[in-house]
Amino acid sequence: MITKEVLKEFEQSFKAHQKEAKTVEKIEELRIRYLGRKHGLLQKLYSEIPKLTNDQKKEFVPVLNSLKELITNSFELKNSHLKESRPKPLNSELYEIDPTIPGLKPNIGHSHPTLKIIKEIKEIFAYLGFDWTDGPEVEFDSYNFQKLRLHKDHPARDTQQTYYINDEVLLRTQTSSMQIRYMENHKPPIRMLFPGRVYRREQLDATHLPAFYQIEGLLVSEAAKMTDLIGTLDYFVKKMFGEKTKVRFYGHHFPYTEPSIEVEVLYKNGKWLEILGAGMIHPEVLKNCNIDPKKYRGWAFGMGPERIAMLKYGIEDIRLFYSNDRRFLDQF
Amino acid sequence: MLVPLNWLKEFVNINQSAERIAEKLLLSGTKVESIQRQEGEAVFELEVTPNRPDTLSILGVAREVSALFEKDLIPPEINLLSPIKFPTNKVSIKIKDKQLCPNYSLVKLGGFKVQESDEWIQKYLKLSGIRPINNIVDITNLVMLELGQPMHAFDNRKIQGELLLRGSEQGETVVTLDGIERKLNEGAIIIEDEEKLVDLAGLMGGRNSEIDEKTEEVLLMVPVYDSLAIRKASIHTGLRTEASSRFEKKLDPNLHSFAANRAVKLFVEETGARLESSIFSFGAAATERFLNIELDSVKNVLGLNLTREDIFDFLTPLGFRVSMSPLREGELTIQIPSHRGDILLSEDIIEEIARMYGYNNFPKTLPQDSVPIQNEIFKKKHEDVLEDFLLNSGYSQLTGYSLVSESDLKNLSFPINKALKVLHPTSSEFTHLRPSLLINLIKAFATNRDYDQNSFFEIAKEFSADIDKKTNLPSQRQAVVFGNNFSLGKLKGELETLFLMFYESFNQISLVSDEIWEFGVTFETKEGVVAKAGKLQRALTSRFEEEKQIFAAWIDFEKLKDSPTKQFYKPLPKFPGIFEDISFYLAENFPINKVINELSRLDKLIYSVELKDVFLRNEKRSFTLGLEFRDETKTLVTKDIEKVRSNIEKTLQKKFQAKLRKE
Repeated sequence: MITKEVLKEFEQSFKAHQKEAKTVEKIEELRIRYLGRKHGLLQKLYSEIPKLTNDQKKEFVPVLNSLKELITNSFELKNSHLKESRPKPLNSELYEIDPTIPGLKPNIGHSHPTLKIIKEIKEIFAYLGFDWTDGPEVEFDSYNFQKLRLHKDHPARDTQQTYYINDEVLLRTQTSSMQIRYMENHKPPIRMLFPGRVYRREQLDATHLPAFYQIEGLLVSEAAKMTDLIGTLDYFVKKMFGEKTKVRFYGHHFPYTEPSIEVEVLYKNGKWLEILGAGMIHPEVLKNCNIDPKKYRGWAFGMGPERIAMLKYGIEDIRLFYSNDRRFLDQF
Repeated sequence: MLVPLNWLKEFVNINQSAERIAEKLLLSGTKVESIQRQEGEAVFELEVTPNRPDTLSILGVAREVSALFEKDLIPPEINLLSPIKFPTNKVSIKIKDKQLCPNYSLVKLGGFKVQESDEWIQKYLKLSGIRPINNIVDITNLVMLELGQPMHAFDNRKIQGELLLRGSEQGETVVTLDGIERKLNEGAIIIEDEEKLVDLAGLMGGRNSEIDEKTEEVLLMVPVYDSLAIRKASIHTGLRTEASSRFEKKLDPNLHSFAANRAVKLFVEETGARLESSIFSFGAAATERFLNIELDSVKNVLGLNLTREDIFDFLTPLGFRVSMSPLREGELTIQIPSHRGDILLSEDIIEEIARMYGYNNFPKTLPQDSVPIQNEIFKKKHEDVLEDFLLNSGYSQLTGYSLVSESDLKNLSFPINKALKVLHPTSSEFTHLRPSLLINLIKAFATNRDYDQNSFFEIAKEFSADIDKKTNLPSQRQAVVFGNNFSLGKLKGELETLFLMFYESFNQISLVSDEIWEFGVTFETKEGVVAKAGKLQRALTSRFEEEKQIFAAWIDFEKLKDSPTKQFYKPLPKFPGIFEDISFYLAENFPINKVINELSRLDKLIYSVELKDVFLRNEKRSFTLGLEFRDETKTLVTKDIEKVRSNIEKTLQKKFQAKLRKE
């Protein structure tokens, strides 16, 4: 027969049992004893409800329900704690008093957002068979410019303010230098990514850095064609920013590609933002790397991972990437 | 380049909205950066790529628009409204080196009354970002914007005798229109009369021959200059003008005569001037250029199936003449218009076809040919191994500036002449390539001094001025640094674990304290010193304004073994072992790793030796080692190991002067 006392006793005995149960097995036993569908102790109490008077029902049913809730919840907590990696006894006792105390944060380092983006890019392109490598940042003028059809007096050099070490050696302004290095030493077919740091002689401000990251992609084969380049970049943008991302391709000019294009994505604020440049490798560039342009064609693209991170995470000041500030770094 | 929409509409009959025109221009490769609204008029701001000087003109942009919207191009008028009899006398200029100015037109006009230009001229100039000056100069600027051909008007009365055009000599000076005396290098193009330099050609006119309010006679020079000479002079003098930005590119070699006629028409009709000479044009017309293009190559490069008619329709409005020979179905012959000096190869034609087709309309395909066999793709890179390991060990990743300042180098006690210096740095903050990743690591601790515990790492290059013999380039070695400010033991354990991924064995040797390390160890292998770990000098860290201690490790990536050690499964022991601890005080001169190494090799029954505890008492190190004894063939009993144990004790006492501790 259900009475106030019975219910109180029931609650106390449950708590006593609960304290004793320290292993997963014991707790499971306890759970079945109390919450079992057919023979559970709680179920037994519920089965007595029809025998109660209406007044009694009003009084005891709510108590019974809250008792059920307490017991059910306590099993879930106990269970998860034991499955966790040995919490300190003090901690678990604290959680018994207030299970809403936040857990301890795992001690895992934070990936730098720029390198996180590079990693994502590598993963996306790995599906298409692209490997990656890096090379010299202090580079010969010939690899950074001349073999890419940017001769010493080429006006396009103006757009890439360059740090020189001496007449022939500079800080690479673009990872495209790696295209040349790689093609000189490898036979097609080639599918490669070249991530790394590049340098520009520019004043530091919210959108310009004297040094930053770039990632270049290169494909050379007998069948390379423009529709593949556009399809691949479309695949990439949608994997990076989401399937619904609006993307557009338009004509541009780079001395080392022909045709050349740029790619923009539609940003939240309704503006199109340029994220990468690409094109079919100029036949002279292939020739400069001893690859026969009559037999092989290629395409290449380049982009700035910081810029992509800014777009993806809504970062407004590019200097933050180099700030070493944990208030920034810990968010990634 | 600014293009007022209403001016554009004079050359192409179009009724589309500014936004629609801008979008089509952009998609086809003429980048419209923005649409400005000035005094209720739309003005496009264009970013023109260096290969397309023809679109540095209203007419050139109009040609693109006419092709994109299939509307006729209306070229500017050059015939005078009421025909006059042209004078037959000639004006001339002597040109010393024909290379510098292979083509030009020259004409004399008189009867000028210098005043403000008509309103429409002033308005077009202002909308295009050029300040109106007077009716003579304004027309030269107007025609330059209209056609893309710069020109210069001299006050003829200020010129003594015949003009001479030549390359400058080193150190010559000229005072330009802006009143600045410009010192020239060798090879700038200059024009002089019998007394003085009157023009820094292609960049800016000379002050001594400029148009002023009293000018009555004008000598108009419409030249095509050697683009390289202009570019070099522009870079040397730091002077960049609307004219020089056009002259330094490949201008249409046939345009000067048309432009001179256009200017003459405007001078006569807008200012009331009269012709005082014939319009003299010098230089052969550019030879007509043709390219053959195969339909197959269009298909191969672009992946599009286009007919000859498609290609005809794309190219003709741009000024190309496309001829189709019925005999050669797969081929087209294309005549290149003189304003498209950038078209040199069939790839250039293919680009024209592609941009007119519209890149957004391209089918999107993925590469169909098989993936190349690149074994590297399955090989985990060092960067990835270290990065994953350090992230999992709680270190956050940094990217520091690769360029550092002289004071950074001083703070690191690094000899400045050994660091790699860049020429013409833009700021004293960024003058040298960093020789050590430690600079940024310490700075990161200083930046985050408000946090109790910090752990950071960075993987990047370290540079020096030494030349690497393999590459002939300055030394640039990939390295990794990581550090924390709370546990050297943790850091060392991590470095040891990392090393075990690459080496089966390595030596740890105490390092000699120096400017950087207060104490620590070097990790040595066959390749030499591969890593260092220890406590950074307090003096060093405090120079970077970090007062807490920093424990750091540095690994020379390029000495690290090529690939991680192969992992083999070790069979589980078949028989139970015996576990014992041994505690002792160790004499000063002996590092514990020597003891552990020695004991591990002492007897084949010793299965493992591990450090269990260490503390200091009266400046003496006390160690507890956990010993594990096993025999592969049987279950050991205590008696079996007595001999080994006494051997261990003897070794500890004799060889390492250890004092056994029993409690």
